[in-house]
Amino acid sequence: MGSPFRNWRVYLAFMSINLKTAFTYKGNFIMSLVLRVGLGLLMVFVWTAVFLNAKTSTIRGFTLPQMYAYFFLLSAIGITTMSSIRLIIQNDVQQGKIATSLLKPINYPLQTFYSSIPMTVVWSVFVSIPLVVLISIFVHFNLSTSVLLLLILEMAIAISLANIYDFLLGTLAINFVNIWGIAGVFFWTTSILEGGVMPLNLFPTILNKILMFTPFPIMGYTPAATVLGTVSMNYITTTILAGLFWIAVLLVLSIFRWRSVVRKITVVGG
Amino acid sequence: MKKSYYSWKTFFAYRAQAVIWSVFSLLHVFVTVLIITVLYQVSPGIAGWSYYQVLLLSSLGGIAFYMIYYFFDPSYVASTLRNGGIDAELTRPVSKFAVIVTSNSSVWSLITIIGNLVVLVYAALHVQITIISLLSSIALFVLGTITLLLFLLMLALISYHVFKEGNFVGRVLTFAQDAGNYPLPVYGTIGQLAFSLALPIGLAFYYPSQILFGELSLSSFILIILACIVIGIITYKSFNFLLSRYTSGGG
Repeated sequence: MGSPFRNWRVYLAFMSINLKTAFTYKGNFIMSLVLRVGLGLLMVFVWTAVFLNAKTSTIRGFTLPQMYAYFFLLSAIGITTMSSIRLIIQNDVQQGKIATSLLKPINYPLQTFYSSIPMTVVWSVFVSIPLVVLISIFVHFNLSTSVLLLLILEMAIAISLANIYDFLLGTLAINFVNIWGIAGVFFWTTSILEGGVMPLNLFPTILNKILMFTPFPIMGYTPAATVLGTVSMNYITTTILAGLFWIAVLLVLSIFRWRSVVRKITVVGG
Repeated sequence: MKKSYYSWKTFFAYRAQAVIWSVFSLLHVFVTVLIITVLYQVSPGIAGWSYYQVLLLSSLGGIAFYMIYYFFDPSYVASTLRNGGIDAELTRPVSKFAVIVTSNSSVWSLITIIGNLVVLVYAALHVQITIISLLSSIALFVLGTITLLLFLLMLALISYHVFKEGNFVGRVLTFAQDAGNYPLPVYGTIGQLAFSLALPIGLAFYYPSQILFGELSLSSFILIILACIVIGIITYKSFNFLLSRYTSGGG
């Protein structure tokens, strides 16, 4: 696929354009932020009711404040691992732009990657980081240097996985043209398996053990549980190694996939 | 009718997509049931509601939302107004309200409705329901869903005028659907009021569920009907006002 650092000025231009686009609809951006926090607040209310009825201070190792923090952390992690590569590829396929992009002296997969980064950076800087700071103030978790380093490593793996996944999903647009349905199924499934709807340790033990070896926990549950200190070092190590393994597998798969589909691209010209 | 037939034909034109959308539609129902089931495994109840009552509430909510989606997608309305895609339709000698309400039929939502209906029947078999409460509940559900539809139409127009695109209304819908899965007292008195009057999901399916379980007095029932009528009139008038301020974005 080529080195991501060659022709970096060209890719920087793509980043710049998309960064400007990210700020075009300011009102929409602010409302998205409000509603995203609102979704976390809904879970705060629901889990408060659950804890009140259960008449217990912990549920599967989570106290109520930790449960609050978990959903906001998951929200912050979800924003940071967000990728729009599939949307870029889908739009290019639908509008026929992919043909002209392939004629240009740039690497198309890298172009989609660099076009996707700005939105993630904007959301991470303006939403994820403030959200984590706010949670740390309200829930008082101790973010030590070792935990912070571990979190950075986990997030790097999660971001890489999310982007490779999204690229693979995007390439399906070359076969199906419209991949909204496929993307929907994928994201719902991923959201459950990465702990987006609830902490993974609330699932049956056997399912949780199987999930440890999949790429999903590292994309949500593991980073959040690392920060909250509700997960063992053994679990963290296993999910990090599994994440690295899956990055290698999916990267190889996406290289082969791209080489295969790039020959089949047909566009509706006009 | 013709439009609906055309929408179905379009949906099945891409067979693989149709299958995937169907799976996606049912997955939404499955995830909701899964979350409620896990919550009830760790707690005996939420706001005094039993597992089956919450299942019934969430499935009723799903039916209300996807019935609205079956006719029109509010996000699509806002986006289409933005790019002038509905201009030709609006010049026809028919009601503008009818044009917009039938502008984009998401036929796949019928699959979600069926999925929710299965959950609803399953849950209803585990709770005690009388004929009177069932009939009152259906009446309130219909009235509340129409009120919610009118509200979402107004919101789509607001989304177009204020944000110039449809993502806002789409996100509000996601938020409302998630909120509607649980009994409103969970969100406190202010939350319950907000979800009854400001974002009227309560009128569409929370109060109909309450009356189904015999937990709503006659005076509250009448008050909710009045609220539906008042909100319905206000939102319809607002919709017409906002539409009269519409200037084509296409070209």
